[in-house]
Amino acid sequence: MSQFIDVWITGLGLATLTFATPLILAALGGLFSERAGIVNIALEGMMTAGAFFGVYVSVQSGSWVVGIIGAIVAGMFFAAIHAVATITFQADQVVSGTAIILIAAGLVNFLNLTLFGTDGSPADFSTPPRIGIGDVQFSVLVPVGFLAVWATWFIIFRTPFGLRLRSVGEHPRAADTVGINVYKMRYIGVLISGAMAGLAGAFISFNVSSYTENMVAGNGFIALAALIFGKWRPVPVMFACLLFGFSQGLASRLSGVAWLPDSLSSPELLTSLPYVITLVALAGFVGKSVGPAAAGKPYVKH
Amino acid sequence: MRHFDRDSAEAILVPLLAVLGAMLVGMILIFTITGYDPFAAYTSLIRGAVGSPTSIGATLLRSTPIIFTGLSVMIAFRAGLFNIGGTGQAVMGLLCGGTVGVYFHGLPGASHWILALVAAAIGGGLWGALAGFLKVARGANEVVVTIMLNYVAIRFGEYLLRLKGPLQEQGSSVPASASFADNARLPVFWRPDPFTEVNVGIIVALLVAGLMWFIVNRTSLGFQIRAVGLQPDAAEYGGMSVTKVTVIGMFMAGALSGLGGAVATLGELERMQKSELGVIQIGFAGIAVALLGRNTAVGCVFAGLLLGALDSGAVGIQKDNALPAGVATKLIGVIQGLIVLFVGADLVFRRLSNRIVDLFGGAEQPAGKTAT
Repeated sequence: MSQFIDVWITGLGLATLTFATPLILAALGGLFSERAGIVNIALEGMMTAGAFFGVYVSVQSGSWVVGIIGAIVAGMFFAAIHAVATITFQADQVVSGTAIILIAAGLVNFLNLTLFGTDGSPADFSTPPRIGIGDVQFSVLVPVGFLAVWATWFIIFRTPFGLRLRSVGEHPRAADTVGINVYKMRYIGVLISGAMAGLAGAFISFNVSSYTENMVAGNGFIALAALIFGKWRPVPVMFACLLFGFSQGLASRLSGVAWLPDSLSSPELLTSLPYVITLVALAGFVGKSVGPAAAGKPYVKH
Repeated sequence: MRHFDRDSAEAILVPLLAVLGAMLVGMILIFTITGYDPFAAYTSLIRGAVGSPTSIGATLLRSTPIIFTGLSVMIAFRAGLFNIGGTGQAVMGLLCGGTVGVYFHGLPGASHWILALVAAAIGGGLWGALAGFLKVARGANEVVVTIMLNYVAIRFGEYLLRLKGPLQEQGSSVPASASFADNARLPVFWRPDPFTEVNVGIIVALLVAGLMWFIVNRTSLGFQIRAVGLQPDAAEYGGMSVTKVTVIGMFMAGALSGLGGAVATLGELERMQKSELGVIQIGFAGIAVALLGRNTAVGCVFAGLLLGALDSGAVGIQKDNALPAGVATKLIGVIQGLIVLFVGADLVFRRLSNRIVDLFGGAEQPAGKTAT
């Protein structure tokens, strides 16, 4: 019985938290960007950048705190490209996002090969400490993720800044008329999304103490799905991320268990579970999910 | 140059400037990050892309699948949809086409590989239509849906081809299917050297591109696709079914990507391999092809050849050790992404294009238009 609790309650619970935290951070980042009217499908690319630079800067500086700053800056760098392309040059936001995904993946793996060589990142470097009681240990970044949910809710719905951010995402022309700088607010929203996606990426690489190619593995897109599923509101988005994190945790726990037939417990099918659940959630339950009214449309100042 | 009008100049100059800009950034990256000589690297790239009959053969082989995925993204774009699902559709295509290639026996001559390609088109098409259906019936965002379907398709294929998986060759210790029947492999029409075999895939790609041009520009279906892509509400009001066009458009997009996956497999490999599935990049490359080709069928052919040349050029860089091991393919990925970015954010290049037209004496303006 106690073994059951260890594996299926504590183990699965911790796995859920571990998988959900980067989703929460990235999805909240996406929330800032999309609430400001800029669709950000490039969360995946910004997470990849964060995953690499978190490790690289931590290795170089010897401090995980500096590593996290590096990851945030890296995420913001790619967010800045997205912002310039979509806000200043009015590029299609999905096209620009696709470009950022390609550039980030290529550039990061280019740097990984050049800076770390074919052996990859070193085995031992500074990572965030783990906290908790007894066997229940998790990264100090896990509570940061949940704190960010509250902070995002507060900023978006309880501050003048949040009101302005939402207004440029809903009706930029009206916001402009009352003197809000639409471009500035949109730049800020996109840059925040880059910072949070960078942090989310660093969580993933710090968690396994290494950077490997393609390690973000679609989590940026799952975060995007969570944002839609949670209807662009912080707390529902958090629950969506917990659901998707749970499906990843479940897949990792079910892998190779004895009482499942061999073909069902195969890693190939189990690792597709999070993606299937995401699909079912998007197609089955969300219904018509209506985002910020002006999201996706460039704003041209007269 | 007097008759050089601004729009057609833009159609050629903007992609050209975008490619040059991306190559320039690539040079800066080579120099600042690796410290290698960018000119030597690009010399190797050009030699690897078009420097010999072998290189040209390799370029044609690399171009074929991405012409298909480029056409796939193009047709979806025309219907107002963004298809990031080319990879998953290609996987489904290669699984269906490959299964016909392995398990059907005794089909005479060309009928076997043609049947395999038809199966691939149907398999990829249905996978694409699923995304279209989820969009119109359930309001699911097609960008996220197609990406999730990519992962599901790859994992499903890996499951089928894993050791003791349903499609794996029985008794073999390799996670791969049995060999394709001889007639299922695409016929080779040109051997620039004993190791490079250029198959009919490129010819099929050109024929399909022509067919796509015809469908888009000369048929009622093409008219409906364009109408829905430009003005869905107006199209609906005009009596067209946005639902139908969306599902058909995504079926066509999926079928084209499915063909891309199948020509790469039936053309160049002996069998379906599990290891092949996780590294399929042709879906994303198709986005670059479609954008660079300005979402026309003819443009996709030229853009596919150009990006295929970059791909085989990367092999040239590897061979000459002009960059650290493994770096060349990553660099090509960055250049592809930059091309997408520059074509997407083409405002700056449009202005540049106009400036160039002015330089060459194209200053004559059609009445009613003003210079920018």
